[in-house]
Amino acid sequence: MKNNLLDRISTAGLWLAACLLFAFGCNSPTTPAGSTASAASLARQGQSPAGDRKVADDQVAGAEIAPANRASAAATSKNENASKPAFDPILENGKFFEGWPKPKLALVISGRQEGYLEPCGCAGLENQKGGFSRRHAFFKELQAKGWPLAAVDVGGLVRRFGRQAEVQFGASAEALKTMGYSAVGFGSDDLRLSAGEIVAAVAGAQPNDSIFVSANVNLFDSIPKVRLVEAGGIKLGISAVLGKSFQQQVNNAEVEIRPAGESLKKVLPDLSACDVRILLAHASSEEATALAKQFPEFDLVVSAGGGDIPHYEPRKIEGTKSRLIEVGHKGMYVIVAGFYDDPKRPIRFQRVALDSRFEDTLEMKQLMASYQEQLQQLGWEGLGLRRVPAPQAKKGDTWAGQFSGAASCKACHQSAWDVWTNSKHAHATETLTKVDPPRQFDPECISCHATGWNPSEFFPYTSGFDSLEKTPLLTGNGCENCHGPGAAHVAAEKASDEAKRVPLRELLHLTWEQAKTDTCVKCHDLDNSPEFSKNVEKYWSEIEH
Amino acid sequence: MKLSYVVVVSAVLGCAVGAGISWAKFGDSPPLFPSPTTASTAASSRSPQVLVDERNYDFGRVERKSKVRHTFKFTNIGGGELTLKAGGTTCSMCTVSQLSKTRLAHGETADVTIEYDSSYSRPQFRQSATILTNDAEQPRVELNIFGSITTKYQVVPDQMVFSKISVNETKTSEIKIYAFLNDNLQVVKHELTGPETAPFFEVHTAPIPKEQLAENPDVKSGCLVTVTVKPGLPLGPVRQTIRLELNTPGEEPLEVPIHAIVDSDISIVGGNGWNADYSRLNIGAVRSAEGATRKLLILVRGPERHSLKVQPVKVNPAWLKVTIGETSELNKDVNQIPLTIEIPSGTAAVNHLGSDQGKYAEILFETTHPQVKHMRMYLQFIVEQ
Repeated sequence: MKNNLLDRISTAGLWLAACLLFAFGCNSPTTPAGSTASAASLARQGQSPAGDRKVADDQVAGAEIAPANRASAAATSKNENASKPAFDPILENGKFFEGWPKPKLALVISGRQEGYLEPCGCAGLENQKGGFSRRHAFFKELQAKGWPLAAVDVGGLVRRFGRQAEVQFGASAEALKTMGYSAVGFGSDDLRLSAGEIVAAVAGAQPNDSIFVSANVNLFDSIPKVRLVEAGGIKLGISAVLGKSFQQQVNNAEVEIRPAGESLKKVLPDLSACDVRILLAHASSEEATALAKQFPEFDLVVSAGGGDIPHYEPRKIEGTKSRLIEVGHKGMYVIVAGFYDDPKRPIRFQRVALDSRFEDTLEMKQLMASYQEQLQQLGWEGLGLRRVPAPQAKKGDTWAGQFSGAASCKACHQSAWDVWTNSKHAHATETLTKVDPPRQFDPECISCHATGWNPSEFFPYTSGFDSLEKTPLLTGNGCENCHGPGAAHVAAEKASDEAKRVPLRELLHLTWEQAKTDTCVKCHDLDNSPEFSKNVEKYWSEIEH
Repeated sequence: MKLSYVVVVSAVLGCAVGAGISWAKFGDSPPLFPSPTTASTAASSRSPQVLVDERNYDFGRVERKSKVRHTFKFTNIGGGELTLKAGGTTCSMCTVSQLSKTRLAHGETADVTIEYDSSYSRPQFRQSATILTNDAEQPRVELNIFGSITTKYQVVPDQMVFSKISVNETKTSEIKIYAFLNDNLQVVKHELTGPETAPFFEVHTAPIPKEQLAENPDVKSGCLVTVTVKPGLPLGPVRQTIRLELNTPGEEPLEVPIHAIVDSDISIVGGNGWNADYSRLNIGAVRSAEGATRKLLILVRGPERHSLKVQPVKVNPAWLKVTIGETSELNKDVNQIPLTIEIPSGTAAVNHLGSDQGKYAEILFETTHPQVKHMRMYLQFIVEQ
């Protein structure tokens, strides 16, 4: 009897619970099963049901979404309470090659390095992308997996002009050779450099040995017009061109450049026996697309155009079998094309962010050390850096536009000095001397890590920092980098020169409003301090004076 | 006994209330206990599922130094609670994501707003923001934004580079300024900011005829700026800036950097192993039985380029074979003279690596150029048996 009652109670309880669940559960709107399935299926395919600026399906970035790395997600969750969670590159950029079987060939496609041989590291290497060392580590990982590998680059190794850019070009060419690249094109900034330096960097023992290639750029007949390479049992035929809009930027009498289309017509027969034809078009995406339509023989057309970040999935070029591949900028990403003997899916693509999951390689570290040594040997003069008067300099005025060093500010601005001397700014030069390899001979580094340089053009002002030995008072990112050269102000104060005192004080006066919009960002820019704009007040609190 | 009544009454009431609410609200709702055919659907619907209305958004043309926003809709079409979390963006300084809510019950929608700051952009931009979800099939949703920056002017190229000019040469280069808002662009004043080298530059400006602007329909007018470099600039790199004041009152003048490398009329271009800084050719290790040959070019610019003669007058060691070829025209500005250096096969072992064991080999050339009468070149190699 008791058991029966208990049974009844429990059954009634279950019903009550079920009914309550039903009642409250139904308070959420339900979606008909049929529409759920179709909407879910749309979502899985990455399609958008609506949108006035909807983008073609073949541009959809999320076409292949890598599942999350649960371990890394857990790691971040554990850190959620910390003031700043540990940076997790896998969480940020996803896992790569999820669901990929071993390809017959993995073709790595890169370009637009733009002089970024390595990420700056000023703001923490872990949240910056790019650099040859990480790329090399990535290559080694693929090789360790037993994947047959080939690599091509659309060019644009440098973006500046001058001796340092030439040294960078040489180091970059060496890096690509070391990594085993099969073909590399030229960008317009590459071809602005001294032709002799370009040839010295790219030439092989024989013209056809060079990994650099171009159908329409001639450098003393030292580079081939096509590259024929066999990898993973696939015959690759590669040519490269410099597009029309980029040609207009080259004014170098030693370099001969012909129209892209006309030149490609001539080299196409050389690619006839290839399984896969690749065009490295250092051109805008529009011009690269037009070339792909004019020469539908190419399977892959790599462009130097497009935005800063490459598409996740390369775009199909209408009316052709070609895909247009963009590479982004600053060498932060590479695209990998995987080739398969699968008629249903003969090719897959993966965008790879070269983030901090990839360690440095010894070879590239040595190459970077040798690059820094070369800069040291050349010195500022050898690098063609002529000192120029600071903007405040005046003819006939001994002190105007002259730097005096932060120590000269101390006597009158003790509290500001105390803040500065305990800040990272005061140790900016020292920081460069402690990294491996040291970077204090690199104009692109020292210009923000010492006093008296132009921070964005990387040249010294007349009385700016020279070396630790010659100008010890100008080490650190001193007061005068923000306020302006102070020697005239110091002289006027010491001489009690009333006529000059007031205007010079006004000249050096800088408000926080001015500083955060115009001054700080000259060094705390997108490349070197990506977190700055989001945390301006926090940064200011560290140096407020 | 009383307890059992309470439970029974509660159960009946619960059923009645639940059924009543359901009936009143949804009429023909799904059955309480699903049939076997719908069991699997119900099982999967216990998991959260994210539906995103779109993943790519084209802002079209965006003004520089402005902030633009677009809102993507994330809906939970699964059964379990969907959680959303802002992951990274491809540009932490310019692209920010913001979520209206982070926990979504079935059927709920959250706004995910991406804000883009165009202050840092190049003419074209593309960025991504990742949203992390607990949908097992879509743990990372990447939202992409792109567009192009509207500027008032575009300078093409953005800097003027004279890659290499001879100290005795006159050379001209051009830049074009395109205006996207101004129908009648004019340069009203130009100024060279570097007083030291300003006398060696000549600047000329002229409007670009409308028919030459037809390629880009967005361009309203244009101006051609021609800069001529005159002979006499100091050897080495030259940096200059041209400041162009346009016929748009109140606007900052445009500044275009000018870079040039001024070199002597004669230079040598080598391939692999040539170091122009030290005039040194590194040939490396050479097997005696094979010997080695290196081909270089002597480039000649300036007024002497057609008549210039070069010959080796001192070769150390003397057995090095140095051959000067015929002059030919590389282009209208530059002539080239082939230079071949040969280490003959059968040469005895010798060290010219530049160390204590052996100095660099050396070739001295004599030329007919009035200013560059001699050129010296070093060779670095070792011959092994």
